[in-house]
Amino acid sequence: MLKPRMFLKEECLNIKRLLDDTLRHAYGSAKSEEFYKECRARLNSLSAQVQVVDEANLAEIHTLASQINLLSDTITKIERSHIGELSWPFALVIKEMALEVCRENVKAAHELDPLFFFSANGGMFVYAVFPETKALSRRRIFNVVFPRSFKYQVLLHTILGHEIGHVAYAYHELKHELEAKVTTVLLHGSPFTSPSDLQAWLVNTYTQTLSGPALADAFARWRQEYFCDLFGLLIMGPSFLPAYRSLFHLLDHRGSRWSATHPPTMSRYSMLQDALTFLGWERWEGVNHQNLRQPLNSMYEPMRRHVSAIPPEMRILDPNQVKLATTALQDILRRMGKTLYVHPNADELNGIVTALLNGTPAICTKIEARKGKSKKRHLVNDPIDFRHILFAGWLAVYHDARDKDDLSLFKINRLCDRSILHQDAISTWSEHFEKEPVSSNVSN
Amino acid sequence: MYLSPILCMEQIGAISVDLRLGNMALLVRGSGTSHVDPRAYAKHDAHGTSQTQRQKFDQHEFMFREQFLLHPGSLALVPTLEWIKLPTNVKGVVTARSCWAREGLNIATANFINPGYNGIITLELSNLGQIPIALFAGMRIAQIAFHDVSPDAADEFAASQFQMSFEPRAGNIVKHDRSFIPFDLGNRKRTRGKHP
Repeated sequence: MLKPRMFLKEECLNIKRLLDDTLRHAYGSAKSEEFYKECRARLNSLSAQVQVVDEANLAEIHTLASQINLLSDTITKIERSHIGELSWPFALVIKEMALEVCRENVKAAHELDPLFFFSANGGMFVYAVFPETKALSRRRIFNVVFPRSFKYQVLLHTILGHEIGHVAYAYHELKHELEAKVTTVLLHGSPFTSPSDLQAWLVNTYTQTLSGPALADAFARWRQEYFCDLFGLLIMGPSFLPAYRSLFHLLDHRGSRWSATHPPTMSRYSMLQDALTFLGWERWEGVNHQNLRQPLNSMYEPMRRHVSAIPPEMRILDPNQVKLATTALQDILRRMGKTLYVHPNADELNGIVTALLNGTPAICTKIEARKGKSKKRHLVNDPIDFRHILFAGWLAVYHDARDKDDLSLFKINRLCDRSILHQDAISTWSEHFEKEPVSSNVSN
Repeated sequence: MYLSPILCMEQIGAISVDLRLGNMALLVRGSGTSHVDPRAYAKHDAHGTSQTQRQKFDQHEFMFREQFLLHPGSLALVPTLEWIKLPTNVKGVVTARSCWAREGLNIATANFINPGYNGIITLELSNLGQIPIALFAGMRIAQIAFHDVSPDAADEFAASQFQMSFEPRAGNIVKHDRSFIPFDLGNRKRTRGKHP
């Protein structure tokens, strides 16, 4: 048998080789150097600890073994991260959004920002963002997981808004604030105020009795799930709902299935509907476009109907509390860059929907005459928020005018994906334009 | 007509619009297939046909400001960054930009875009020079000029097999030419000189 300390020493050397092997690949998010340095720093730290750990201290050796195991797992997953397996334009925008939520310290240099890598797994329900709850080194590494078969299904990817909520909860300070200002308010007066209230509700509704640790676990998890639903809605906007319903309906079509990890789907629908009503997205004033009214109605009506049939015992949260929690979360999100979703104006949305229905991406460069004496023309590429593209994408899906043979769901998804890519091109161009030296030798 | 995104006015010339390199490349894989065989395109078994076509190319996706290298003598199918939708009375003609041609970058022959076409344009890039060429998504590498045609052209003739392409892919080189391809050499010997 290998002695534990010797085994770990050997494994540290193996991981060093593994890490060097990853240099053969270009990592998904174009930051291979940062990943390498971070993993190398962690490995160096663990190797140093292995060198000095007392052979007889099995508890510490066990802890080190767990950390080395985790590092090996992380490096292997990073190595297997290939941008060709997922929609990387979407991955980039979701990364930007998640970064706004989980910067270690707004005033700190960006060198401390967490690192994100993306991977694709089999299965439809594998959407996840795995946060590191406690940084082993300077920077946390997050793994965002997409379903492999949904490479271009960007309309469904909005469900990741919920997962970013879990990321926010993984940050101790932020979690404290979110718990106090949002989750507690959201669940006030519900069975989720205390574990004993939850137990009573579970007995009444499901004839379920949970033991102490299991009850505490369900209590914490369920509370977080409600919060993440609200979070997803507020950062992703209306396109969160059809994605959410599409996936959850497959998992639990009645919405009342018992699960120790997630609250009943019905109660979550009910909460989201209350938030939606408060946000006013359903009865959107200013929508004069016939082009929008029909698909908006087709998108929201089934949810409304579904929620109206939910029995009272599943309408767990007080709509007034939902309203208060929504307002509180909006206030918190406002200080996180552009994280909070803001509705587009109807003209902009109508333009995107029309472009998609015409079978073209949303970004449409316009050539306009300059004002004043100069007759020179200039280009206008109005920036489009990716969430507006996805909202418009869903409206195109629900639109009666869509030719379902010519413009399949897959094609709309791909047009939305392409639109996000075009926006990335425009942003990259604008961001680096000033830095470009002026060319002195222009030829055709 | 729809052609977007256009990132700068310099992209628009007197008689043409420059096209930019998109974010994907299909590179012919040296070990993929021994030779191009038209018969492989007409196998009736879906696995065989698809496998032959897919194994011929390595697919690379790259973000903006990441390079891919085109080695001398190699062929790459790449998409344009731009999406284009032509009216039914306009055809497009795609050619290389001369500054790139002088570096050895050739854009091969399939340069007519049908009236009514909607999608990305696939460019067949080859490096005719002696040294590798580094390419970056977003660079202007080709140009398209437009010509009026009879308004009925798009209705009258068959639509391109690449209509509404989102990415480059291999075409079907035996489409409508199957009569000339001996798909089964054994049967060919037996039926020589006879009507099938």
